[in-house]
Amino acid sequence: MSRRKSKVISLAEAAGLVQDGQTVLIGGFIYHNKPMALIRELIKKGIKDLTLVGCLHGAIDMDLLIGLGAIKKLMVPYLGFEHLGLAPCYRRFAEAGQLDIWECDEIHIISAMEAAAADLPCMLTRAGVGSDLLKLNPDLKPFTDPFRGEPLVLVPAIKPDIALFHAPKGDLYGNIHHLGSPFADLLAAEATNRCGGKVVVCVDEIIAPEEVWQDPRKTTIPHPLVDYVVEVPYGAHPCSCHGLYGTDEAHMQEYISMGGKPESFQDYLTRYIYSVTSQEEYLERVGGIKKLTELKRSISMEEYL
Amino acid sequence: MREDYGKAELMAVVLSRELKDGELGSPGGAYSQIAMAAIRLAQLTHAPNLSYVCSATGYINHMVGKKPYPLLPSTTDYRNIYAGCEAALDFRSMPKRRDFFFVGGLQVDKHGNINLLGIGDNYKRLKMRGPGTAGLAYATAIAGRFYIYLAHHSKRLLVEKVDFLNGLGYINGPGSRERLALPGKGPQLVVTPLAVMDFEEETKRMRLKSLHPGVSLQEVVDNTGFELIIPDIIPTTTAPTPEELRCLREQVDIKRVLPSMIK
Repeated sequence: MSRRKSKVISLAEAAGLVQDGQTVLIGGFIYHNKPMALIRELIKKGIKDLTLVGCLHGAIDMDLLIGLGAIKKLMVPYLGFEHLGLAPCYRRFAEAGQLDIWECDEIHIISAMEAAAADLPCMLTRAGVGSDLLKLNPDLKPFTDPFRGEPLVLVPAIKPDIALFHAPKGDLYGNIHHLGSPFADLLAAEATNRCGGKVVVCVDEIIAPEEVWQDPRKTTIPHPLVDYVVEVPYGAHPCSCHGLYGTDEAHMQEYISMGGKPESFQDYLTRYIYSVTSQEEYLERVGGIKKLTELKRSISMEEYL
Repeated sequence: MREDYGKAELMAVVLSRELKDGELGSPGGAYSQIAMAAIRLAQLTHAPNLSYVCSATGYINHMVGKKPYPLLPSTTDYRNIYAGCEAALDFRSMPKRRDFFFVGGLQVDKHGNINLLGIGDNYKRLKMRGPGTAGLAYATAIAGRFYIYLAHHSKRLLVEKVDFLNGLGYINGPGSRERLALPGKGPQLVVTPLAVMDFEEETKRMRLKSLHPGVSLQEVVDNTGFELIIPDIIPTTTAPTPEELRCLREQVDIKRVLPSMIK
């Protein structure tokens, strides 16, 4: 009998899967559940010409790649840091007219994923009707409902070559456990898998398969949709990993102020990416065990439950 | 006139009164402390059967009979979605019904249209690139009704016409939403630190509804970038009742972030 295969690979191997010119999807939401360690590896190897899909919103994950000049086309409904500020590289590049932006609502990304997941060329939605998005994005096609004549919008399927996620836990076969919101990760994984793309999930911890068998209801992305699992403790930092640690807002603020100018953006890359040889070294650089404990404690809800 | 409550507290109370028992809505995204306070205050006062979906997380929350949790700036923060959570779904499986919704933006125009995309008349050379659309185009189309709330009342924010329209108010005026068969009724109120505005039925143009206590008409006119419809009689925004303030401070805003949010 042949053996069931492990899907575990190293961070370096995962980075090797992403090629220049590909359509790359990033899961999570704003600065939650982002595969940051993997993105730093892509930056180190000088990835370029990507079509970047945010499913859904982005913050530092996508802004870093924009600042690097690695983005050929950007498909994301929101890129910013909410109450912390606007995305600095996104601003610089977009305002200079140096970025091809596929303007969209979050429902357009969701619809494009639904289409890919259902093996359909496009999907119907009401999102965008009456808005300037239809003028700014020629891929959003006005469509009249043949039954009642309602104005609607057709969105083409988006077919990622590879999708990158971060989640708290998973086993070696690719059963993933979220401890907070999975956002739209399941749909994005299904869409990517259905159209032949690769699904890579970074996890803070690889758990024993028995833990999955004990309560299968905890599985939020099932193994047939996952091609590779990478164990990266605190791999979402400086973003949060829902259920494990909060967002490093001080680091985000440092990033936002450094991303505003090309020179200081380069300083950021040098300090936190180019001069760092491992995830362990990175974690030391951003404050070590003291900072990580603080981020873990920041999401404790004990006194309120 | 000196008031014993903050501007953001007043705004939260005003919005809270608009929400009805039994409804399902969402607080929207960033800077959502005011919207979240409005929703939780409604649950704990006149609308104990109202629930909210914590934005894109798909978590459904309800605060009645539970320990209060502090207000946080980001709706999708882990702590925010777990506070009062009774169902943990995801983006795809969450109920899409939105009886009410809250929005902000970079610009809001006289018809209640919203721009979160960017400032400038040339799309290829924006003066300021904003975050994008988020879920505004969809939510403003389908939500039963929505409320616009702004942390500032200024000519920069309240403009004649938005540079880019990605949140649907009344678009070009009367009949626009109907022609597009949009299920939602559109913006109901615009609540700022100075005043409450609504929309005149015949023209769908923004109209002054009430001035907050201590605010002059001139102050509002001077800080609005278009001609507001001014009614003959201008009421004063009803101040929070002692009961509303007590509930807001003891059961909703327990860390007291609202009083200092808007100067």
